[in-house]
Amino acid sequence: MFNQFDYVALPSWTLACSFMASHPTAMIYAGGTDILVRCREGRLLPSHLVDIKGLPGATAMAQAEDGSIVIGAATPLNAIERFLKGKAGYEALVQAAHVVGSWQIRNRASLGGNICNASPAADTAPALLVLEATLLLVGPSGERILPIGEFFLAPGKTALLPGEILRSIVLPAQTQATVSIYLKAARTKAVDLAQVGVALLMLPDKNVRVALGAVAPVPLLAWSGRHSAPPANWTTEETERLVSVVEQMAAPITDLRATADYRRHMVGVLLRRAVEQATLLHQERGEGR
Amino acid sequence: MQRKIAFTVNQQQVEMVVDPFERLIDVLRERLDLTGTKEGCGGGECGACTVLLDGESVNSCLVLAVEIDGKAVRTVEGLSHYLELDELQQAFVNEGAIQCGFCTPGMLMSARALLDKNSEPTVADIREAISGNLCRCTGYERIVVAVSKAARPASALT
Repeated sequence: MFNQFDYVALPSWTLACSFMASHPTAMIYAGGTDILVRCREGRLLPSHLVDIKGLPGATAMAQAEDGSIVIGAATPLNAIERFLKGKAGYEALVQAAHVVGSWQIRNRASLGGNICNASPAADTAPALLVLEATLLLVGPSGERILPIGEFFLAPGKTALLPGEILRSIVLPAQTQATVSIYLKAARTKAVDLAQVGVALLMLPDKNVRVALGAVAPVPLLAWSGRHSAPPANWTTEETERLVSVVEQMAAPITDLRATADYRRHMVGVLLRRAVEQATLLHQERGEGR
Repeated sequence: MQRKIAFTVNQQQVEMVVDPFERLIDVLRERLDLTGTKEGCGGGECGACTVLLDGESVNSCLVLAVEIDGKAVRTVEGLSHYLELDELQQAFVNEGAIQCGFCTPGMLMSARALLDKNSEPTVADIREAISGNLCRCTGYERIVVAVSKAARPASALT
């Protein structure tokens, strides 16, 4: 059984922020798939759970005219997967959303919750890093926008200030020629956290981004820059050059899911696979045009 | 603070007062005597407590009772019509997809959620849909076959 918290659902973001600011032991509640487990284990003892699912836009998704996509923080992962499927460039987030927990979990677990937990192993985090997502935070003194790369501070610790709530996640527009991939190593196919997560995004202008999960205290953008060849013409040497740079960024630990050595090894394995898959996808798209 | 909630369970209207920290599974089992829904791990890993909430499968151990106000819940008791089993239940019986039976209600609800959206699932779709439901007896094979046959009764899939 849980501790005897109270449940609060307020009509506006502003009221929710003031409530959070004046109740330091209250916690934001969306899908509940993580918070309720931790409450049950006695690891969290919130005074209040403040449900944001009913707040304006909290579970809404929309693509703006400029192509950017706004996702309400409490939107469940399964809904996000359905919305983004088939949209070029966002494959990594579709794949990352798909490998969290189980089907039932993904019907409830939210994108906002996945990143606000600030787990180094959060599957959606590397995908959001390579997509250069920005976060709309709403607090007692108004709104601010933060790049996802500045959000994670330490395991379980984010840049959210007291009373601040993640309202939405904004994904910049992608072109038809952009491809991204997320690959996860885990002990089982479902319902396990990542041993390693690798997200790769290849832009048609030779820019490449790689982000890693579960190999550092926070999800990490390990590489962002131009490469010598466009995605379709990569040679093995080019892949290996990228692998060696990215591997050096990994600083994994040994825990119950994997040893540090295994994690370091899997960074290279998954990145090579991701390059292969991204190249294939790129070629398929090129032929389809 | 206690709250009054109104919702439907298997199309029956229900009203009650619940504590803010009360779970959906406790409301079903302890208050409504719908003990078909099982509690296994209590942490969203085993899927024994799976029910449908507005048509989507959820772990009822990870849903607060206050959240179901105005919503429709479907449990394993809502599958059969009096003594007539739902085609999915009948397929589980026919295929011997049950051993101890503890996972069965959750399996059925996950499979129901799948078939409601996808009447011709592939084996991969079925495996995916029940990936959040653990079974320690059957080895899953017969469950997958049962779901396939319920979807396409005439199919010769074995």
